[in-house]
Amino acid sequence: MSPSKGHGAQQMTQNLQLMGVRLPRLSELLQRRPIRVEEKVTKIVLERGISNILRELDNYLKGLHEVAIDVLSALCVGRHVLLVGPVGIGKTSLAEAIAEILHLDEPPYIFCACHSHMTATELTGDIDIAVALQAGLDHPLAYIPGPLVMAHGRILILDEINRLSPYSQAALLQALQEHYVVIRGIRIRSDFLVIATANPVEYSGVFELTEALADRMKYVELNYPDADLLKAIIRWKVDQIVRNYDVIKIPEEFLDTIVAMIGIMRSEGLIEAGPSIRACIYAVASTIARALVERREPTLEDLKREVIQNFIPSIRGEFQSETDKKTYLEKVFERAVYMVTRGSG
Amino acid sequence: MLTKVLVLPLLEVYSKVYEYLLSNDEVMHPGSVRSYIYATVDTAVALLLDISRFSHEEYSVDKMVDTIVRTAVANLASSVRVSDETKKREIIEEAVRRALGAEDIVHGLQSAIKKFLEGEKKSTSSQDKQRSLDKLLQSLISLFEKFASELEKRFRQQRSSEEPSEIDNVCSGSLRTVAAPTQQPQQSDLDQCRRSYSAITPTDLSPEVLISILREARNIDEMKLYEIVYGYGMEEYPNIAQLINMLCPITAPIGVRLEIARRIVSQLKRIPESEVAFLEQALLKRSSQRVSYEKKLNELTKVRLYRHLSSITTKSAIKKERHYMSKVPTSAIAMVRHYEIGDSSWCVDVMRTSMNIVRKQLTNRPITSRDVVVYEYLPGKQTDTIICLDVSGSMREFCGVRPKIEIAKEALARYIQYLVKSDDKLALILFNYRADLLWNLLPVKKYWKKMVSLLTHVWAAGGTNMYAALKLATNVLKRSRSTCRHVVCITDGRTLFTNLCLAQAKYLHKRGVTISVVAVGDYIDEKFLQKVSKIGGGAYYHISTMDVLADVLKDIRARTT
Repeated sequence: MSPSKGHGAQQMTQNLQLMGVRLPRLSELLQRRPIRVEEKVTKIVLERGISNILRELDNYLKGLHEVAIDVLSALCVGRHVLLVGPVGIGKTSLAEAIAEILHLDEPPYIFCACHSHMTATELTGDIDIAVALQAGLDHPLAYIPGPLVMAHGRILILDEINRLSPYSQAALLQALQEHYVVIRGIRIRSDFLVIATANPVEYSGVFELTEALADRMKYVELNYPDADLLKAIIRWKVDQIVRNYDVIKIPEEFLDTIVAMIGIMRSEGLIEAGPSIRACIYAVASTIARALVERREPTLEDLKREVIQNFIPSIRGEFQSETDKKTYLEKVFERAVYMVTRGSG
Repeated sequence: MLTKVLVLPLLEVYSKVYEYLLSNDEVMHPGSVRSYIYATVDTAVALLLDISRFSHEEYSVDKMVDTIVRTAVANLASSVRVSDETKKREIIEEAVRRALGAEDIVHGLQSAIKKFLEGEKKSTSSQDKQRSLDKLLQSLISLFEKFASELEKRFRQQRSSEEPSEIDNVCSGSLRTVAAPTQQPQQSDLDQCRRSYSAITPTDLSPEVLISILREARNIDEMKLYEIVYGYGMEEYPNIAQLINMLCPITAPIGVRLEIARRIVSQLKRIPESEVAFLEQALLKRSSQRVSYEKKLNELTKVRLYRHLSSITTKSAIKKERHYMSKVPTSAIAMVRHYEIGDSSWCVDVMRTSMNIVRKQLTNRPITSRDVVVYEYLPGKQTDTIICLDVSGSMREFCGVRPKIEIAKEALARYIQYLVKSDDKLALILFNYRADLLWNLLPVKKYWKKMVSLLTHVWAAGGTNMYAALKLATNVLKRSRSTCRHVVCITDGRTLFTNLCLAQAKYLHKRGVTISVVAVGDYIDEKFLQKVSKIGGGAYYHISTMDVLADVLKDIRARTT
């Protein structure tokens, strides 16, 4: 069963209903007992063994063992975690994977994609006065719970937390520290652990986290993987994507070229934000897919085309125009090809 | 229960961290109590997870320290406030590392372990169920003991090395044993300095140490070989200047440097051939492929000169200019005046004097001493020149029958001899991935012999990073008082960090320094190098062989007066 994804209280409630989860009544919520989530996590980690958990994590993501340990150790002591890193490096996937592996409850986690127009009531949920007047406060639809309340005894994933406006961030403070959510004077117990993700401040459209909120979280930074690991990740992911197409083998020089390109771009320092891992993966995958559709062997020329199409939106730097960017990418690609062919010959 | 053994000593560590952060001037707020509490517990759990993940042999003290530092930084980063946000991580990291190295911590850890062991003996016997946990605890305790003893050992080492008080902090790790004191010596200290250098006997500089440096410096694989051969990339390989600077300060007299260079080279010769052979062979293979190609090139063009990118002069133009190049360098004429007693006969302006005499004779007037006209030269206008010589791996390629680096060395030697008559000061920077001064700005007249012999010890290897060279040149020129300052970059390849290079060139030019670039060979980033010389307000030369390098250098010198 896949967990609920959506914005705000209403959609989540609908999703939960569709999944057959019964909506809680207000009276039940008020009688909630505290759950020691961190103890639950610790127990699971100790029982299953950290190496088993890491092995399981390898099914979802690769090369993030250190970061995963950082996250797990924080969860074990009841500290909320904030994953910080550039776009497309696997922050959200990591958070989901860890929550899925720990599997504290059914569903194992509540996912909340934050955006700048999210209000505090969307996070906590609100009492519907009309229903309450007609059917009484205890009707299932009188109070529609938000993600903060639903996450009781689970992990709450707050995706892109720094897109929340400072007002909505304030709503999180109490829930994170005191484990109580207050809705119109009604106090509801809610124990959960947060794995939040955020882009660094220099990205567009983000707010800075308020100091009080930042203080309640552990900053775990994700960095770009090195060349070998990147190559392994791309190969593995592309393999997963194109497995259905009866592809025998992913051409080695494609991977080498892409990795060399990234190396060149990073060492030159011309661009501020390099291409994401996601862009790399899809560049290779779509090259193969395209060649398959046209029933021929994929060539480097195809790769070049796909690389440019996939990388252009994700890199940022001092470029005058899109064509400027394009010519730069072409140049880097040529150099990477030259390097790869030289290196092997 | 389980984490108690870890939490107690870690509390000690974090209280030390707090102290350090409080005492640091740059820290505005040393962090919230909440973050410290969580950091302590979190680190304990992280260590626990680490221990259950690795076997006892795999897990080292270094890894443990790494884990502690990582979790500490992650937990404290959100609440510590520092005046410069970019430095925050470094400051916290340093505080944690210092806290782990402190004397009290070692004792604190030991006493905590002891206390725990006493308490644990009573309780563990009753709990038979948690056998696996006990095992874990046992490994934990032994690990902590190992950790504590290791820390103590390190601490003692530090202590003993601190005792002689003038110990070198610049040299790290393996070189510490051969380190000489590097207190910046004043002019009066030089004698003492010299004495301590002479104390270095050849046995101190054992070949093993140098081999380990070299081995660490290059982990060769296919990809890197490419970078070595083409001189592009991050390959770090110590050049002679770097080794000399490790052993003595930059202000050391050039004679001392020469002596050290001789010893280093003689030590290097004792390194078994097999260590160097692999690289040499690979390079030879590459360069032999290239020789035929370069021959073809040589026939096509010899010298191309771009002067401020406006006009392209050819070989004949260079010949014409050689005419004035051959004069004494500082020949700028300030004024012309009448002869006075004491003027040298060399200074007489023959043309004007003869004109005067002819005029007097034609008008039948007596010839006086006023008719003799002499030049007044500028009072010894002195130029500070810094030559940045590329010693990356690509300089080992053959150009004709000899490696480029040999030709470059010879050309530089000729250039130095040419400067002997002038009052110039000259510094030489060698750069591969790092840049280091081979000698600082020194008057050529006085030291040219030593310069030439020091030059013979230069070798070439590693990547190319022109930015480092320009940056070092900036530092060197900061201290120069001369009105005429010049930087000449001799390079044969592409460089890393081109943007930074351009920015540095701009900065230099603003300070009144001109930059000329001599590009050698075919594999160059022409656009970039031209841009550097244009920004630097100097000349750009593209030569396809090294043979003309000396002439080109003289040409640059002649233009700068």
